[in-house]
Amino acid sequence: MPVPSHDETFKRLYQTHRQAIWSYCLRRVPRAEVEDAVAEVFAVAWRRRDAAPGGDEALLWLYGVARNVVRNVTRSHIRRRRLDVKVVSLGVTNEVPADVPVVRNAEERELLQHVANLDDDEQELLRLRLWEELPIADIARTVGRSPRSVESKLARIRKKLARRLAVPAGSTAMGSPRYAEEGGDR
Amino acid sequence: MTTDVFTRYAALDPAAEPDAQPDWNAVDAVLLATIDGRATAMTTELEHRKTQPTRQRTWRSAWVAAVAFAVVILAGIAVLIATTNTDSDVVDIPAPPFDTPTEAAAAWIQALNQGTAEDIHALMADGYIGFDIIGPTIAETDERIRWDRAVGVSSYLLDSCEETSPTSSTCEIAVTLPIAGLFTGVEDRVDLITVRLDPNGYISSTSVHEGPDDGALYDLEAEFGAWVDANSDLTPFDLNPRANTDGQLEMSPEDAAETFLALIEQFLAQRPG
Repeated sequence: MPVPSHDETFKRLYQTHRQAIWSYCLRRVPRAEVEDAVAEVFAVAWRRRDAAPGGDEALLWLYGVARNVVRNVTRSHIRRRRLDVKVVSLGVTNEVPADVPVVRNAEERELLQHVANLDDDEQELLRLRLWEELPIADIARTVGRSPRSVESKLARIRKKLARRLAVPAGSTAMGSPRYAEEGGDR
Repeated sequence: MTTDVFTRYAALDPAAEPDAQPDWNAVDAVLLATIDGRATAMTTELEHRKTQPTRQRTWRSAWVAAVAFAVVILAGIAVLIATTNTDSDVVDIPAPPFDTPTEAAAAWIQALNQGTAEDIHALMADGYIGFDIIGPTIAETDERIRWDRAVGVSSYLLDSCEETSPTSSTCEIAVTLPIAGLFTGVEDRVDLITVRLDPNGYISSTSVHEGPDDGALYDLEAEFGAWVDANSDLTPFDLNPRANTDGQLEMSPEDAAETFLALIEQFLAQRPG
């Protein structure tokens, strides 16, 4: 049986995982930049194709590559937004991304807003678990934490979100859900 | 009846929306252009650079020449000092290929504590997956290790490695994290780390197999990040090379670390409880 050439192996990697990587990028970057981000992920994979693992490991490896690509896209967005903020003197932070496609009702919008107020690592754990549907052990490998830490962190996020959702918007002294939860069960 | 918050969030997956359709033609076009065009583009860029050398003003050339001369003199002095110093600090870190993952783990920890960014990258397979100490480039790894050392991070391999396969070893690593100490009062910890080798004897991945519960620490770090954003002209991006994913801190890693530590103290001082 002939050994697959780099091209064939890479083609298979691309065909097998492009949908998962496209979904990963769609969940994290503005819609207009998703295709470019996916192409960049596979361009990096092409450059590093000698190191690409086979089998189930390949997708985790691609998620690792995609994570870096998405960070760079996000970083340039933050810079752009800071510039916009300076120009219009508006202090806008942690908005629900404009590209979240369909928000069916106010409760869902509120939930997305609370998730957007989590820090980046927390949001990433949440997406990896609930949208990529990765097992805890795979999440731990992807983010470089122990499985126990990931599990514990997810439990805290669940509590935090539930608590924030229990506080009606604008009902706290600061009008901020974060302020309300800081006196909680820490 | 209330639905669990995770179940509700899972249902909001944008990729599950019926109109979420990839444009594979766009992906293929960009990808093919990148793959096919890379070599040509690099050649063109190099040619372009070769044709551009004489645009500088003469005063600038003279200034550059003077600086270059000074650098050469200083470098000569440095070489002289280094070669006459009998207590040389040269670190001898074992090089790959490694025969066993345990040898690789020991070399990796030694490189983290004493080596340069080049030493660390030399141990790793291309496409290494694992700790964020390894940046996408040697320059970024250099920023991260200098920052870690400036805040006092150190790691030690305990004599406890267990080879779970010919290419995989799980070892206990004692880690001192002074920043964790500032936040939680506990700076010493032990992590169980798995180190894996690729078929060529290079480290292909490292992952935390088991470790302390860092939930409280992460919460405080997140709170600190928000406080820095709100109370200073800086952001966590400006202070921590790991957060700064394009690897270009605007200050030296040592200055960034010093500022980071000072801000933690201010943050803790104003924090109730």
